[in-house]
Parts: sequence; structure tokens; C-alpha cells
Amino acid sequence: MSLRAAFLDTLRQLGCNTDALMLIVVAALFYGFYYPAPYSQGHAQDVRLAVVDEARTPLSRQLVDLIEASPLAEVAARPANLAEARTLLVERKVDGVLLLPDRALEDALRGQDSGIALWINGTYLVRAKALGQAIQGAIVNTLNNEAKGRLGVSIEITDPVESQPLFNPNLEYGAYIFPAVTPVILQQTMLFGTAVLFAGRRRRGWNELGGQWLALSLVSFVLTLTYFGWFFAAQDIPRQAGIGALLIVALFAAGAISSFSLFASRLFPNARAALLLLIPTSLPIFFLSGATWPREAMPGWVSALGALLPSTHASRALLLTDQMGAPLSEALRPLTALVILTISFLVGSGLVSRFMTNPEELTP
Amino acid sequence: MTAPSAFARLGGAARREAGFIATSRVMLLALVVVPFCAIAIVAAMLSQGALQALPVAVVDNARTSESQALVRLLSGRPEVRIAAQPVSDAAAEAAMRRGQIWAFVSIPHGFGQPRAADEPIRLYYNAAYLSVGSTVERSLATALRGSIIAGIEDNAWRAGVLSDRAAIPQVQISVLFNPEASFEWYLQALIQPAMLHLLAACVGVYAMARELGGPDGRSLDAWRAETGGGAAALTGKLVPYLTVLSFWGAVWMVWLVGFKGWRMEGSLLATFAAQLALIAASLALSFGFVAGARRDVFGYSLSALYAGSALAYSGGSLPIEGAPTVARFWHQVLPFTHYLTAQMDQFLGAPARQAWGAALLLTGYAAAGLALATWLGGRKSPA
Repeated sequence: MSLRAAFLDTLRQLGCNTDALMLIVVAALFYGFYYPAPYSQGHAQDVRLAVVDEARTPLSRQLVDLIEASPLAEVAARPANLAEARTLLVERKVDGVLLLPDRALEDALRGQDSGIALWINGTYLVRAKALGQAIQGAIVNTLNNEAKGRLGVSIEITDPVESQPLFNPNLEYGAYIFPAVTPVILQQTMLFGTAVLFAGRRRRGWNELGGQWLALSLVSFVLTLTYFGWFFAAQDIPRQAGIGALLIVALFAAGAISSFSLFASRLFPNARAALLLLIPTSLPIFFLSGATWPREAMPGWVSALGALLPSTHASRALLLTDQMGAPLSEALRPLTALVILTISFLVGSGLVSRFMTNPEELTP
Repeated sequence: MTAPSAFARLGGAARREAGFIATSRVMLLALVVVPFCAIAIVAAMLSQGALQALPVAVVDNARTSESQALVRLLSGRPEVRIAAQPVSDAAAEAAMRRGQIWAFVSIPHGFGQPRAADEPIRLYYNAAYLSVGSTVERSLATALRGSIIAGIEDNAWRAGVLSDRAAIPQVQISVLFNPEASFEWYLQALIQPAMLHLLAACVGVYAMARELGGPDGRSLDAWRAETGGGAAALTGKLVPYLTVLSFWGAVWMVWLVGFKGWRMEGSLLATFAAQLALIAASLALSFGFVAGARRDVFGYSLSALYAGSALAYSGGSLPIEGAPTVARFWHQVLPFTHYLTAQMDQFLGAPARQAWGAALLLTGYAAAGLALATWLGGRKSPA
């Protein structure tokens, strides 16, 4: 079979195979909406707080109102004492408890130890951080207002350290997780679909392999661009890369993803076994990309395992160019890794075809 | 001849399935090698514990003894190492853009000098990698605030140089259960049960789909004839997989609580019961999907869809409050949400009855899956 015939034949097979089409195209497109949906609010909102207001002064009520007004927190209970509040926390009715002792804010205004205390549930880190921010912000605002209004003096309570997040200025959770997970979605859907198409069919020459790779790369390239363009725009993901850089990242990622999928699908006797063993790898594959736990903090062998996956390098190249705005030359390393993986997995696929074929193998 | 009792059908189907597992290379890989590797890889990945020595930069525009003291202070933080001291903010930002550093601190001109401008120290961090960026930011900001408020201003007081800037009021914050706000614990607690859930869903698909037929002429009708069929035989089919996967759940729990020393303040037993019920629910729902659709790929697709995304919808990372109504509804529908909530709450020390409630609810999911599989699997296979 010629390269061209194999290319067209692969596209035809994909078009005729509902299962593969569902996995490679429909699932990939569906995930573009489905995955970011639980992150679309961007930040933690209305984290529940119990306030024990022992002061009961206009100032403390003003503080509680300001916390309530913050989108981050919600005053869900006002228990009479600390013991009641802690029960609410342990029973998970609230995520935090704020204690405002008698004259706490007046003491704070005089620069004395206020005794204000906050207990936070530390099992959910994002919620814990949101509560801390909401309360700190409300206290600073209350004291600034009070000093200006009632005391008639203008003191400025400033933070001596000003933190500025770069590349994701609104600290949107979705803007962080969605670009990082995109190459994993594209890789895994292609992997599963390719397994449905080609698992157990190893008797292929180089032309057929090349044709399959070109056809799958084309499909993956189009899907990748759909994510980089349409889905990222729909989710308001901050983007910095030019179209040229995105085309190159998408091209290199698509080539490596297709090559990897062809290689992996050849290792399995049939689609049923392939999907059983491949689908559960999705979560570790995401974490191996280093998006949440940096690769430099992983032991060498774990990091090396991650380096064998196209998603790891595609994620790095995408984040460097599109999220962080690095010039394409700075993404040479992950792009080179993608090329090496493309060639290695193609050669590997050819070798599997040559050495792992068994006589009973089904051919179409 | 009388029909075998439900108990006999359950036992017979369980023995039949155990026999299959013992001889199936693919199933042994899925039940032994995959969970072992998953636990080992995640445990190894996070084995360093807290993040350490992440590269950051300092732009010292002041070059005073105070600013140098600050640089020394930052270099003493275990989470970071000062990899560069660029001459300008622009150079530091370029290094961050290239991914060479995670954050940089810009110390303003005149820092530490009497009557210096009220310019704050600026701390820029990479929020495209939000989790790592935030960890670095927290470490650096804590060190800087602590030092400035407690140390340098104190020195200024002693030297008679009054700062006219009021410090932000300090709130005594106690982070319960996870006082160090350990990201390692947080990830360990989230990842492993999510992986086990997805694996159980896929194993359930394979176990049921293998009865759909193939070159050896198997069919659901043949399976019913052989085992007596019905809910009892389906339960028997489920038991061996539940046993093996629960073993891995227990291994992970022992690793977390026994070896890593993260004490569960609530009931370990109730949490384990909830995990058992989650695995049973994952297996049973897959039985139902495959029995209904009579196609393995359909079952796998649904598993990948609902179990593969369960972590995202669980609210374990970003709280679901504020998400679209559909997403909040789906969050409640997914079984994993109820397990994770129970597990995290038990770590904090919530009453055991809450986790037992989750276990009961998840048992309901398992029963629904088995009922679905019994009903849909009872139809005659198309000729």
C-alpha cells in the first residue's frame, strides 16, 4: 500500500468506525466544554465561615458585614461561643471560625495585639486560602474606614509586600488547570481511539504506518488548534502566543501524540484490553506533566517516565509560549523532545509490527 | 431439579470469576500491576515532601545592608533557592517567562534607609503554574513580612527611625489537620482514590464485556445459563474484583496513615467502608452500562467521562460553589464526590456517622448499578 493510500484509508476507517470517531473527535470536543465547567467560576466563592463576635460593637459588625460582602466568604453561622463554633467546624457545617474578642479591633487600631484568631479547615487548600484572604482584606478595610471616619485621622495600613501574579493575573483556577490539562485530553482521547482502530493489528509495513501517522496527526492537529483557539477563547484563558507559534506547537504536539498512540495501540492484543489498561493511566499522566507538582521536585526516574509522554512536553511548550509569553526559541527544548518522541515511537511501532506479530492475529 | 439458591449462585459466579482472573494476563495486569505502579509512582512523585529549593531571583535595587540581610533571609528558606540576582525587573521577568525561575522579589531603591519612599517590596510569581507559584509566593511573602514587621522595623525603632506606616494587624491563623498547608498531603489524598475509582470502573466494563461474546462464542445468555444469572450471580461476579481493588485501597490508606503519619482524626473504619462502597459502585455501574449497551467501548467511554473527570467535579481542588447549575448538579450526582467529602472530613475529625452515611449512599449506587445490570442484562441477546 502506498503512503497516500494508507493515509486515505486511515481517514476512511476513522470515518466509518463510530467508536473511534466518538473517542477521537466527539469526546475531544466534548471535553473542551465539560472539563472546564466546574472551574468556570474561577475562584473559590462563598466559603462558609462561623463568626464568634464577642465584641458586639458597631466596628465588629462592620467587619462581619465586609466579610459577608466579600465574594470569597459567606458568614454561615454566628455561634454564641467558641465551643459551638468549633463543633460546627468539625461537623463540616463551616470551613472556618473567626473569633473577634472584646475590643479586638480597637486594640488593633491602637497597634496592640488584637487577639483576633482564625481556625481554618486545612484539608482543602484552596478554600483555606480564600478564607484567609477574605478576612485579612475585611480587617484592613474596616480599620482603614474606621480610622478615617470616626477618629478623623488618616492612617494607612499597608502591606509591606505587594504580590503580583504574572501570566494569570486574576489567579483564575481554570486558566491554570485547563491549558495544562489540554494536551493530556488530546493525547488520551487519541490514544483510546487509536487503540479501537488499530489494537491487535500489527502486520503493517512502513508505508501503512506512515499513512496512519499522517492521518491521525492531521486530525490531532485540527483538534489541537480548536482547543488553542476556540476553547481557550471561550474560557477566557489569558493567551500570549502568536498564531505562528501556536501552529508550530500544535503541529509538533499532534505528531508526537499520534506516533505515541500508534505505538501504544500496537502493544495490545485487542481494543478491550487496551482500553482497560490505558484509561486508568490518565490521572497519573496528568500529574507526571508537572503542572501541579513540578518535575524538578520529582525523583529522576519518575521525571524520566514523564519525559516519555508527549503530553508532558506539549504542556510545557504550550504554557511557555501561550500562557507565559516566551518566544518560541525558549520552547526549543520541549519541541525537540516532541520530535524525538515522534521518531522514536514511529520506529518503535515499526519494530512492534516486525517482531510482535503472531500468526493468529486478525487482519482486516 | 431445583434451581440453585441465591447464595449458591453468588458463590458459583464468584468462583468462576476468580478462576478467570487467575488465568487472564490482561486482568492480572489491571488488578495487580496497574494499581501497584499507580500507588508507587504517585508516592515516589511526592516523596520529596514539601517543595524544596525551587529557583527564584532577587532584584536588589537598594543594595543596602538591610536589603542584603533580606536576600540572606530569603536564601535561608527551604522552599526556594536564589538562582539569580538580575539587574532589573525586566531581566527577572524575562527569566520567569523562560521558565527558569518561579518567582522574583524586587527590593525597592532606598529600602532600609531613613525616610525611604513608601514603596513596598514587590513579589512577582508565576501564576500560570498556580499551585507551585502560590507555594513559592506564600513562602517568600511570609519570610518578607515576618522579617520586615518583626525585624527591620524593630531595628528602625531602636535606631530612632520611626516608621510612619502601620503594620497590617496580625491574625492568629490555625490551619487545622494540615498545619503546614502541605501540598503533598493534599495531592496524595486526592489522587489515589480518584485513580482507584477510574480503574474499578474500567475493570467493571471488561469483566462484563467479556461475557458479550467473542471468538469463543460467549454471550450474556450463556453466562446466565452457566451461573443462574440475576442479581446474586452479578454480585458474585463483582466480589473478586471488589476484594482485590479494596486491598489496594487499604494499601494506600496504610501508606498514608501508617507510613506517612497523617493521622486520621475521624474514623478510619468508616472511611474504608465508604471506599469499599465506592469501588463496588464503580464496578456495578459499569456492569449496568455494558449490560444495557452491549458494547464495551460505550462502557469505557462512560467510565472515562464520569470517573475520569470525577476529581475535577468533586470540589476537592476548586470549590464547586459558584459554578454553573449543571456543574453543581453533576457534582452531586457523581459518586466520587460523596466519597472524597467523607474522606477529607474524616481526616479533619468529623463525626463517623457522616462517613457511614456516605458509605450507605454509595452502597445505594452499587445496588442501583446491579439492579440496572440485572434488568438490562436479563434481556435476550439479539440473535
